[in-house]
Amino acid sequence: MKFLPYLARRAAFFLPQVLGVVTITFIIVRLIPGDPARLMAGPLVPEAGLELIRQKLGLVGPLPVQYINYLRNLTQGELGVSWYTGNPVATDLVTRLPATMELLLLTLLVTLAVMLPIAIRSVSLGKGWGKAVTRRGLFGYGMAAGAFPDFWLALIMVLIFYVVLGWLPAPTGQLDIGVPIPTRITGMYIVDSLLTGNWVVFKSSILHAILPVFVLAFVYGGAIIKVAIVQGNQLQKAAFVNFAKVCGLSGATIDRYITRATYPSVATATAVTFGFLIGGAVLVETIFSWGGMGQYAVQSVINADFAAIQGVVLVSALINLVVYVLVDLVYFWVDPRIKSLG
Amino acid sequence: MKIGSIVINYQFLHKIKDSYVVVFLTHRPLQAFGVIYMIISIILAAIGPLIVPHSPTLSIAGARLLPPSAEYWFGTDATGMDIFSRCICAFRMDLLIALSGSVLSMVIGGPIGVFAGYFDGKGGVFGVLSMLILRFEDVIQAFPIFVLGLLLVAAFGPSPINIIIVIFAINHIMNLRLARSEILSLRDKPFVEAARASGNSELRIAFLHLMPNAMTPVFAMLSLVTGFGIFLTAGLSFIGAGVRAPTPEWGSMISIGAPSMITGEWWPALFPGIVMAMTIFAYSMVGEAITALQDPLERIRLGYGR
Repeated sequence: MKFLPYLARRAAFFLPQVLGVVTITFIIVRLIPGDPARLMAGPLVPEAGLELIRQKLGLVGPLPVQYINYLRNLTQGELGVSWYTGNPVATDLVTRLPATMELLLLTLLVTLAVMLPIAIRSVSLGKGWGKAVTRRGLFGYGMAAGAFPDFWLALIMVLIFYVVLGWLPAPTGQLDIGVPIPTRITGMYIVDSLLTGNWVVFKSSILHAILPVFVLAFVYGGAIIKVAIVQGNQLQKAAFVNFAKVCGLSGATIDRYITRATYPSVATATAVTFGFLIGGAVLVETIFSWGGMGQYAVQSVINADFAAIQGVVLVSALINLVVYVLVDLVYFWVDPRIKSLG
Repeated sequence: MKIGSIVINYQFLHKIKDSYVVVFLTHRPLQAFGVIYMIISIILAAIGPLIVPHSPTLSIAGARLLPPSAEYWFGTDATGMDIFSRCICAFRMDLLIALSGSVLSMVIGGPIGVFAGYFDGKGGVFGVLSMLILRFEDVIQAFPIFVLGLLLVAAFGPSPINIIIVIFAINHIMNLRLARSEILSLRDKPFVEAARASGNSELRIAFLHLMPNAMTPVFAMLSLVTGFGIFLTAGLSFIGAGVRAPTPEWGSMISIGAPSMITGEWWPALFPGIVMAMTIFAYSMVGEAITALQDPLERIRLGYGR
């Protein structure tokens, strides 16, 4: 199959899913007992002001009409106003999203570029004690990764590396206090400071990112690593690996073949993990006062800031769906069977 | 053997000692740990408040943030409550919520999965219905799990019942998909053909003849799903959207302990997390044990019955 028809077929799934996500959010919001206009506006708006908000949010008329209004508002990027911050939710999210994306992307980078190669090495044929230790360690890690609560691990890491050892900065956000925020290009401090060559900010933002990224990679990377190890072990017995061995290829070459062949399952595992990661970021951001979308979500739940929660849910579900599409595109690239067999 | 009038039947003890489950567990220490831990955890959930040394919900005067000692094994928290007693009593709340959510996921998600699997790709009202179910679940899965939980709790309010509903809303999909894939591999077997030939209705075949076969792996997943449920309960409680203090619950205890972590008082947050991690780990081991016990190859590996 060619790339474009594949993309088109994938897109045909994407749009109904987006509509489904929007519809379910609408239904949940309507299920809440009480006046939706009051919930959206927050407790500070007087009764007289509610009518205006009803008009603005399209909360008038029968439900189907309201639903259409709701869709129209969404297509215009109108997510309502957060009564707590006083800003439009869309604006709040645009300022906070890069911080969360930075966290998630760094976590995926660490998982896929550091942990994954180690895992794949560990399943290869060698017998040395180093391999045995790695294998044991990874086995233990696989057991432990799923059991530790992320928010608890984050607190323990803060205790060890900030309170006791003092190696890493306090969990007070993405930068040290007093360090200026870099010129906004992408909104991700590490990237922006790198682009503008601002080394002070760069160093500070890297140091602040170490702990949250470690915690997220440790807790959520485990699923990807486990899939890679299981897949790698199965591939050890595959015919093409036996053939490579018979031909006398070196262990390193065989490792490379196996690595390549684990990509499709790793891609799937990454997509699934991403959904968990967004949730994990919510809790971990809270502990590190990260100031991203996750912390915004928690703050909104505590303040019953319903417009904001709804915005976070819609945006994160949308990101999740986009990630699924991206992974399917990666799939097209890493699994040649799609191209040849269709 | 006879001591006075008490007759001890050693035959009975031998039967237990040689039973496959015991042989399996003696060869798999981690799984054995899981099973024993689970039994203890259920006992503690039942009688925990009766055996703990201090009240789990009342502050002790003058005992703010005391470090672990012989009197307070895990120390006391910022409000002066005994952390050990609270950790033990939290089994009740956490297990009750997580288990209820998982059982609900199993008894509702499983049969829906059976239905969706049996009528998948078939025509008629049921075929269309099964397709609609799957599309609906696809959409639910598009939501990041914890964020969907937040939305539901924000919508319906933080209460144990609502957390159970959240756990169900999120976890039943796993059960549903597993049951469905089991049915898909079973529905073309000869015994289904035989059931149909002897005049059973389609629904009767699906739920009476096929469902018992499909529910075994779904049941095996129960302890694993319970682990997820504990995660979710604690996570929601940690940010104040779940169980509220002073009700003992691990997530809310960690959140009470979080501020003092920065000032170096590590015990209020450390211990509930350890108990919680051990519980989740043990329950996942029980899941592995159940799966392994159903695997006939495992018997051969352990050399049992030869």
